[in-house]
Amino acid sequence: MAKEATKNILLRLDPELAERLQTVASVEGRSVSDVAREAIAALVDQRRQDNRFSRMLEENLARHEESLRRLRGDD
Amino acid sequence: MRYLDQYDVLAVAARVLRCDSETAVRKTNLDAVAEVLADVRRTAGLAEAVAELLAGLVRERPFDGPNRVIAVALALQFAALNHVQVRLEPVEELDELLDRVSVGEVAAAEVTGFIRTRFEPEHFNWRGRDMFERFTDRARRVVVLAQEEARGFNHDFIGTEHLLLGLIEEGQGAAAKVLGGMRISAPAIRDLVVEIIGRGAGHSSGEIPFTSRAKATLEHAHKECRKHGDDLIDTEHILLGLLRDEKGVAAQILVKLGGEREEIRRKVHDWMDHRQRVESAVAGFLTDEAASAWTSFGRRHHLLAELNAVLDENERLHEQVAHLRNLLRQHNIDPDT
Repeated sequence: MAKEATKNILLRLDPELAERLQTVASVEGRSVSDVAREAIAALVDQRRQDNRFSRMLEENLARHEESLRRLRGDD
Repeated sequence: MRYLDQYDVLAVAARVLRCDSETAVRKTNLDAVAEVLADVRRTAGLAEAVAELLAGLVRERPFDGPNRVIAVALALQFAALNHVQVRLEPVEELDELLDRVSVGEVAAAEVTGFIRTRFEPEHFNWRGRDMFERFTDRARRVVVLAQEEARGFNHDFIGTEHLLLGLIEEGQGAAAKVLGGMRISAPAIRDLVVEIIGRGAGHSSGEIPFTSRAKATLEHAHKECRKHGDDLIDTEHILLGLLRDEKGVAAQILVKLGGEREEIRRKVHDWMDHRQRVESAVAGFLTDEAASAWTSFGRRHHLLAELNAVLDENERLHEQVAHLRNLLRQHNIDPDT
């Protein structure tokens, strides 16, 4: 993994959506990548609010907390 | 099998990194994740899939942070979503394997074999909300209806016969369609319940417990669900669960109504096979490049729902045709002439 703070991401978008992203980016004076990242983050937020998914994740992290803590770093 | 998508991966990464979703996106190489997830989908079974996910993420190191911890957390979550727990201890062995994976010294088969030895089947939890969280809405409705049926008989237990009635009264699921197609009706079942068990004496209020046979039925339903690689227990799994217990009241009733267990089981499997073929075809259609882009998630979900509705309607029409043909035959009219 590159160590820079941000990374360029390649997204395959249908033309209509790409155009909409471009428009939003242009109106808000931001880059398309920025707007795209925000959109992805919104979808990730949705997943984090999924009760079953989150509860399962919390249970897993709690159950294996000690083992995960003892895993060797790989950086 | 319930596969992970990029949003699942980023959600787990964000939780392990204890950061917001946008930061997780910035700290993740999305292309590398997409490649690993695509490789996972090309595997044949859960152990292979978990191994591919873990090895791929350790090898590609897509996370800027504790990559190995996130990769292992994702493997745990992926397995748990598919009703399997993974044992991490002794963690030193896992570390040793992942060290070799990271430098490309381990073949996929070795990782799969390792993961398989660490699999621990999840036990069905009968208490609290866990049970119902693994049910589809339809399957939950079956249990609610079974409870209402038990109350209707003044029974202070929910038995296999009440579950059978719940399956039929639910009306929309695969079980209701299969049983309805065999002309097995709720009134006929109720008559037999009264004949075999009778009505209860008092009024049943509050939560009504399951009998041990009904519990076993739902446990069997859970096993059927896992056997077929489904994520949630649906009505067809409950019906298959009922069919496993040949001594239960429901099984006795089905026999009395002319429903041979093997025939019902075959019809359920036929229905499931048909459903799976159609869904695979639909999923294949939707996994071209444009459709698999993150932007089409909502559209894809909507399309699948629409297609499923059309398929349900198609199936209902087929059943009506079959029923009409049977009626013609009963009146000595050949439907094909």
